[in-house]
Amino acid sequence: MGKKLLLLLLFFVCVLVGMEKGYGYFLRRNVNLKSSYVATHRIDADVLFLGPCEPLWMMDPKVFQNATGLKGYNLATVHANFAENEAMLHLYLSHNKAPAFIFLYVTTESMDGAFNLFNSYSVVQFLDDEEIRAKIAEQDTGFSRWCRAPFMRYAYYSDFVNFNCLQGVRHALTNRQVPYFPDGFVRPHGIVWDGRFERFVNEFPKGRMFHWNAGEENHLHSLIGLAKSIGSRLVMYESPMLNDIKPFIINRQEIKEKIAKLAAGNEVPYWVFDTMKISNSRSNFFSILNTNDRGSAVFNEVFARYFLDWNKKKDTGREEKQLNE
Amino acid sequence: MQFISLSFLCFLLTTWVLWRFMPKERRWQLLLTASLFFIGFSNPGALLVLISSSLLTFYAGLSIQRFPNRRRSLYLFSLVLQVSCLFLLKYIESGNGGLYFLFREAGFREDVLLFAVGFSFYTLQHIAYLTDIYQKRSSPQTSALRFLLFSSFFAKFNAGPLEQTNRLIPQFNIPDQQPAGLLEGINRIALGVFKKMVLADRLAPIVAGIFNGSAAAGSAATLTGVCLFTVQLYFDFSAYSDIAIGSAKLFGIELTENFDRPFTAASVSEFWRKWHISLIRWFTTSIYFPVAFRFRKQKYLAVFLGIGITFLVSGLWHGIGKTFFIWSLLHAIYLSYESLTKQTRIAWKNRFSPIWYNGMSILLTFLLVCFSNLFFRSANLSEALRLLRQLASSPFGGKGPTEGFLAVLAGGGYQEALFNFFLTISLMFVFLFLEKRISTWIRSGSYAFLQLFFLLLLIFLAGVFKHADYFIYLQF
Repeated sequence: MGKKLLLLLLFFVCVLVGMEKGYGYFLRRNVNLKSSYVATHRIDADVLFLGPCEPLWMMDPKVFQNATGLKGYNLATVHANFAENEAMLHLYLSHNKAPAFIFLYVTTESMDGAFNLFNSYSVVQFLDDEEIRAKIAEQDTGFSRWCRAPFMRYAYYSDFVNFNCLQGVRHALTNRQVPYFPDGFVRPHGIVWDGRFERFVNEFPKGRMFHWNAGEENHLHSLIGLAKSIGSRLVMYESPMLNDIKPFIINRQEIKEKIAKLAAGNEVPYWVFDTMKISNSRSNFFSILNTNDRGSAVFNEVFARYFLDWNKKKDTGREEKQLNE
Repeated sequence: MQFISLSFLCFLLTTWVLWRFMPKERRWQLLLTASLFFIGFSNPGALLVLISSSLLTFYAGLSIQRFPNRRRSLYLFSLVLQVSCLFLLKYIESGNGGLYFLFREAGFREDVLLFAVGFSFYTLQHIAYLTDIYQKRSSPQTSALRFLLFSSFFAKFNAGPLEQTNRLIPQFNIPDQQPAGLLEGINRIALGVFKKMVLADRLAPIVAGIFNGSAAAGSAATLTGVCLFTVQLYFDFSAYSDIAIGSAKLFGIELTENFDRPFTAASVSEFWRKWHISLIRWFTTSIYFPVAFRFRKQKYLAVFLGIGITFLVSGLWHGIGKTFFIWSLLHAIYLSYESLTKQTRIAWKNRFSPIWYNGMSILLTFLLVCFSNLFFRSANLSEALRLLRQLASSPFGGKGPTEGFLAVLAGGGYQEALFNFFLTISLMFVFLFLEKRISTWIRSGSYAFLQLFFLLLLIFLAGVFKHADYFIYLQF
């Protein structure tokens, strides 16, 4: 009985080790998985858009390219904090030349730490990379405790990994090389109002104080440092947010000031687009901070033109301009 | 210490190895030490409450027998003390304000306030023990330490199954355990972990989306979410029981089965004979029978009062709130109706084909239980009313089936979310369909290794590892 159990355990561990190899291979072959795509394909963009879901669903590299002639790639990932942004940039740089410009989305939420996180599952197939492993160990302690056991790196977040792995199998079998979203931008087509505003107001009827998270600040510094070290020009920006929410973010102005100070201290431009007319109407948004198709179209044009203006002047430090587009 | 954690795995392995090498007559002492460590490991306060309560019950039991003239007052005094403590601690635990708030304001830390962990379960066992002695159905235990082991035995401490002294204590002296029992124990634990991580925890976000979502879902999605909660609750709690029973089995101890495929019940009364069996047995013997016996001359009154009071107490035991009251009221109504219409239903049964009648009865029973669980799961009455309004709305909330049903249940309806949704639902149906066969496999030797291999594989492939340590019934 004891021997049989031991043999079963041994066999099971072998199966897990085999599965770990298989999952790793197929996840890296999944071109729809942004981390895999950028770490295995040459994109060589002039401009990168970094951040969480807001730029992912907002910043269209095609519009930017049409206006500026610069090739762009949207490297943003859902719910990502600065540490994940840095990990994505690290993976991108492992297979691509450094971009000339990096546009990083920074808002009050980004500095709080309660909204965006490090989603280990989005880069878990590169766990053997020292940089990624260190980031995971620091950001996701629960996961990093388990991930050394056979297959646990994929089992821990199976809900997020299984589908991507199956898609990877399909991509490997069909030798697919082009992702479903080739420039990384996910058009918010057909996404309807998500009710987050109502939930926020219900939860915080008197408004919410946002906290300045020292960890997020450190990672922002680190990201700025990485951009400088590769010779890329990093620009921080805040895209339009729904005006209705502003009274409920009690210390928004204070946090914005701190972000601006941080940007100035690092000689990084900080563009704020929160006075645009599109912020007045919900018809331009599907969530508090996410513009819909209509809002994004307007913002992308404005952003590209603003960039052209700025590129001519090459100012640094905080820049805030009344935009009435 | 939670069941699904590395610390519990280490604890179980260490205890088992020590147990194997311990002289047989001293094994119960090891189990006692291990159990006290299990409780005190994360919650020393709970240990103090447990020892005090156990010793009080033990000596109360002895006194009831030793002083026949004062047995009634001794019994009532102990009973009132236990029940008062139970209500006091449960109310503190509930965190709804009141005493909990006062204690917290007075500077008690949150973890200290959790000293009542497991209290409601072993208090019910203590009450049953004293009642049995008072009614001369059994004699008091003579060893305080063995009684303490009965109260604290780690496998059943947090959330049952509820045991009886005369069933459990003799098992502490079992000299050894058969190899098949060891494999059955391991398999049973694996089955519990599978039910919890692969089934219950995968269903949890779907259910939470309906119960916590402020966006109005249509009636179809709401009904599905409400039904899935009942299934989630079953998997979650029966998983806990499986791990408890499997852990005890490793040490040659048989705990009471707590579930018997409740979704095959063709009536609500049958459902209650298959769901949380040990608690229902406690309620039946300690509350229903005494009340029904007292009013035995008025036939219907005895039944209605018995059912009503039993479920009122059951509702209070689960929590203080309007939603729990409605939940208990609904079950009292269901059971009273069944009791009243027993003859009529037998006549109906003979009129229709048995397959059709049984199928309809099972479906109706399931829906009735799900309806009551709508109140059980709702955080408050306004949430329950919102869900009721949603149940009365159009099937897809005025949208198409994809947007108004699938997207609501499957986290927005993205490909990845849909994949997870269909995987969860498929696993759930396959498991429910094969449940009887799986239970037989678990108990048999021939397929046991293969069974264990597939269970472990599925846990690794589809289990949810985050939050696996949280079981719904631990809050009660």
